[in-house]
Amino acid sequence: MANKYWDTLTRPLLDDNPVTLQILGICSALAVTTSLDTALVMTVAVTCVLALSAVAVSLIRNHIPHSIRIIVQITIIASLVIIVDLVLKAFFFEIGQRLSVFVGLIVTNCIVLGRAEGFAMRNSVAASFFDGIGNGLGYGLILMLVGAIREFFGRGSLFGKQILIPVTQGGGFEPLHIMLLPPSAFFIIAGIIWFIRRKRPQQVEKPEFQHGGEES
Amino acid sequence: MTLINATTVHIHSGNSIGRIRRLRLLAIIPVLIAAVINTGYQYLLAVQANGGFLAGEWRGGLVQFFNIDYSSPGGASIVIAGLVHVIPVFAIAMLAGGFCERLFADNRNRPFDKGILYTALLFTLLMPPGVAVFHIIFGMAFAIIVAQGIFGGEGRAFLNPALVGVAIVQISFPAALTSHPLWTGLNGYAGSKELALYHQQNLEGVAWSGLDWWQAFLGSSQGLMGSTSVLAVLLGAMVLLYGRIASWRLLAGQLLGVILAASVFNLLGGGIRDLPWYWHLVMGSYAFAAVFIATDPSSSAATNAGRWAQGILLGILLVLMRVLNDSHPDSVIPVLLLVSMTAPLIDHIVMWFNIRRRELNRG
Repeated sequence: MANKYWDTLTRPLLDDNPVTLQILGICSALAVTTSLDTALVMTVAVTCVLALSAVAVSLIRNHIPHSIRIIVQITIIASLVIIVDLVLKAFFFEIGQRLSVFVGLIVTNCIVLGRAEGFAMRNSVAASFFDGIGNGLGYGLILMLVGAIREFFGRGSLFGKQILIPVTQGGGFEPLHIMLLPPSAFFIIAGIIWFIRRKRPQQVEKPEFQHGGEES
Repeated sequence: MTLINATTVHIHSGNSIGRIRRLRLLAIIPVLIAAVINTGYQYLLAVQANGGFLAGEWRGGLVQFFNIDYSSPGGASIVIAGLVHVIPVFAIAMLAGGFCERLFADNRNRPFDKGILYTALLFTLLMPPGVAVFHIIFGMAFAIIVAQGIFGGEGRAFLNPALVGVAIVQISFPAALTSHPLWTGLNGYAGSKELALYHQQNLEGVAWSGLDWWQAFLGSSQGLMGSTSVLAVLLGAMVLLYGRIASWRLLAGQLLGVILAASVFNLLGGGIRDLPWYWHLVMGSYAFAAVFIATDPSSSAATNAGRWAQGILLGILLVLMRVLNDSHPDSVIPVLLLVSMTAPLIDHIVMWFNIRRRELNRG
């Protein structure tokens, strides 16, 4: 059955990516991708919360009363987010400061609740764990990609390490200020979605409304 | 079986896309002439004030190549200095835009969209004279790829491509656009000298520097290349209005909006709030953008009431952003982006009211 778990783990990376196919978690993808290191820390944080909350929800899935399941899931997720936040504050204080409110906002990240409600409530503990890890990595993949593009063109650096020397310091590289503003993440994510759907046409949605050709 | 074939409407008027193109080019000619003359004149004045050309600046090198005496700027030398600034920007914009449009046209098996000539002209006229080559290529490529290739095309653009190009350059390189290296880089602001002065020293400061309203109207001051001369813009507006390309309601609405908002701020008083409405009209690149970009039929309201509403909205927002937002002294570009996007909504509301009214009338 290892093959099934492998499938659960890898499907969210490209074929069922939470950001590019399900268009979830966009708000944090806009906010934390101005540099690559914040994107990386956010990826790790979300992956941890996703995997652990999926395991916890899956463990008690047969004991949660149906009518209050969302409350129980949110409680679990919120507790995990608090732990992640405290760990960040204890060991990575500076980067935690830069992520500011967005660590706390993992609670409201639609991916986390979506996987808990949509997958962990109906699947075994192991499958839920791999699903959580896979979705975290799928989210992280896009985040890191966007973060790399934005940091590279916006500051000429990667992971804070200067690669291109900007004009102000005597180099030949001109930073694109727009890359550091939230709208650029919209453009970049849209571009990534376009690229993936061009390569995999089965991901293209049917238009909700078709022009002309109405049957009568 | 398909009975209703929802393609374009089958109504013909005298307007065709070719006629619109020709009239638009005709309308922009006065602005081009004013841009050449004023840019050349201001450049030579700046060189004179500087006491010589700046080393390592290619435009200065070109002017020197023509052996121009900057101590007494005369007709021919002004024109040459102006052309040295206008032509390279236009040529680079055309090359960059044409290349991108060619790519799209070939890929999609569609005819080459000749509208980029007008787009490149608008883009050129909204650039500061000292703009760097890379910025022109970046802005124009973005305009053609995103605003024309992906989200538009002539007659279907929800935002004017030139507007998008200028906006992306202004947002991406705020520091580098600080006008010409020789010119007054007041407050680090790209754009018009009057506005920058005003933000620092109020109207007395503007008068003090020797600028009066007529000068701002005729366009004899530093600013974005095509946007200084309101007179030339008005000549262009007459052509557009005569040819029924621009809507007079849209322009009248703007005037109304500017007067309204400026008067309210005048009552409040203090700082830039004191700026009277007739100064708002001639400052910055507002007049140019109002006539040549805001009236673009494909990105403005299509109902008469909607045109009034959109014009008034534009005028009010322009003054609001100018007065209240220090980071956008020349607010017309961001305001136009906003207002262009409201066009379908405004039309929708107007039609909704129309339908309601007719329903009520029928009882």
